[in-house]
Amino acid sequence: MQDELSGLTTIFTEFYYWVTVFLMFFIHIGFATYEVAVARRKNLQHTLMKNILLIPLVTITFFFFGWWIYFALPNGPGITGGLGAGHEEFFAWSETMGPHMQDRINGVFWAAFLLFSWTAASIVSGAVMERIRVAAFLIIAVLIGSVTWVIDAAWGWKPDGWMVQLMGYHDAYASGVIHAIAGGTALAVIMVLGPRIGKFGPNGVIRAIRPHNVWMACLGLFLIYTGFWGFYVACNIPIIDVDPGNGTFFSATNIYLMPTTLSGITLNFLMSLSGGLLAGYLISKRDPFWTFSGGLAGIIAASAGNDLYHPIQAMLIGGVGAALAYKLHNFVERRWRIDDAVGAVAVHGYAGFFGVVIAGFLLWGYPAAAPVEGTTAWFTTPEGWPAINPIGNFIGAVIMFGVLGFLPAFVVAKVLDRFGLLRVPRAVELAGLDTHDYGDSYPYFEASEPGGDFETVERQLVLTMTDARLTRLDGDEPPGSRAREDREAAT
Amino acid sequence: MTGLDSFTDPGGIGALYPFQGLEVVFAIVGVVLWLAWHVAQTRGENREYEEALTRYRDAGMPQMADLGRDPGATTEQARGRESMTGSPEATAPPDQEPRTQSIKDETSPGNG
Repeated sequence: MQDELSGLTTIFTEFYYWVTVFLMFFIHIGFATYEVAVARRKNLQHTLMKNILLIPLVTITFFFFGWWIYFALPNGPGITGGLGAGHEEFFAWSETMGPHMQDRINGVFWAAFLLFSWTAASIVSGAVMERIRVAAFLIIAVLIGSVTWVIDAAWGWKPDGWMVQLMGYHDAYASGVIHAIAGGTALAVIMVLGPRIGKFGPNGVIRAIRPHNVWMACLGLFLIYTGFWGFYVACNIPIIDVDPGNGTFFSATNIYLMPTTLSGITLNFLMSLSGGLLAGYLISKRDPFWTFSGGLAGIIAASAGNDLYHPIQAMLIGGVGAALAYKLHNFVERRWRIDDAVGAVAVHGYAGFFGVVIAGFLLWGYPAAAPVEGTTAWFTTPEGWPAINPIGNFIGAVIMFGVLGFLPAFVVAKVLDRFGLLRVPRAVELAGLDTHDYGDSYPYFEASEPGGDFETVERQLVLTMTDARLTRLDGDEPPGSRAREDREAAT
Repeated sequence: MTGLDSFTDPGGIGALYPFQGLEVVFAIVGVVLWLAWHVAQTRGENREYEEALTRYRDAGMPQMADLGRDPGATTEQARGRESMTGSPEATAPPDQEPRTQSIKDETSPGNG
């Protein structure tokens, strides 16, 4: 760095992203806390271990190839060109992938993206809890954390990504590129995995499997809100000249290098959180878990356009997003008998999908990014820049949730299921995932009385077991995936 | 020497880490270890469930389910091992009967 201004700008930017990484750790403290709290007492340590292990595996794979994908694939699969210019600098063996005197940004920018990767994988972790094998989950975590979400970021979360340049796709704080894809992935996996034993009874009965600690689940969600501050500011470029052709005008920008302000996104973050909390409280009839989840759904629903919305627009979108998430979660559970243990598909997937779609309408005509030579967008501004529009954002939401979220995860889950490596044996699930190995997580606490009818149902199922094998399911329960050990016992 | 021996010209320095030029080797080692970790973890988890099912068949599933819910069960009992202090009974307070027996002490032939 040759002068004080460039030195200060560079080192400020380096420090800025470093702070976002630290703040985003709270998202993962929150995920671990609320996942463990939602689990039943017999599954706590297994749940915690499953969640923590995604962190090192997604980290090293994001180093090996995830970061390279972001720079290599903005042009899409043969749609507008080949590999991205300069992608060689992001190979795992590039010099700038380590301490380097001439580069102070790559490492912290990598880390900020990595924390998004952890988030995408953690979202899936909650939905599949209490019955998935750790090995299967970790493969799926690497799939979404270091491959599929990075492809969607290269396509739709980069100024020269083909979805941005061609379709005018706009998703400033990742309603689609993180949340919808994670929701789609989670839905695919739980469809193949099947529900937890006893979740669905005869004659359409849906049994509530209560968290072992409701307030801790809510506190976990509160920690996720805290970490979201880091998530939001990490989606911005902190300081850049946004008017280089006509003089100098320094501003923060969104990920597409279009101007916004830190002050503005602060307003919108808080208003969308509030809209979600207020709606979640009313729609769930004062349920604590869904009130807190409503706050999260509110932020996620408004995130696609929170760089530009008015705060009251953000509040209203947040409220609608929370209500949609709650209603759709219950509808899907009832209609298709799908067991999403924490409502992750709804809070992240449906609210994220809705957020991308609504941004296409409300921001219709805004510039999506500066144009790249050789690409003509479907809709353009009067100056010829790609324009945000409802069609581009709707198709974008489908790509995020369905094409890159649901499909690859469904295929991988099916392959794992084919080898009996997706789900734990039914006897292990009934006894508890901690029981045969870790033991009780609260050895000095008295056991609470069995709550409701759920433990009774489990007890009855245990008594029907032959040779540690479950011979019948309860009522209308979808069969779901079968462990290799259960198959061997059956033959 | 493994890398640098002077910081007198920072503008002319690039990479700071030792053994520069071996980055491809580092990457290959990292990827191999990553894949090996998945294989080891998967094998270990499969073995874990096979052992658990064998223990459940021997002990009887209802007893094992009780152990999973019983606050008096120690980790050693759950693993089917002796506690660090000897027999499972040794872990119970002196004025209290032990709540559970070690799976190894169970006489039930199981459900099957």
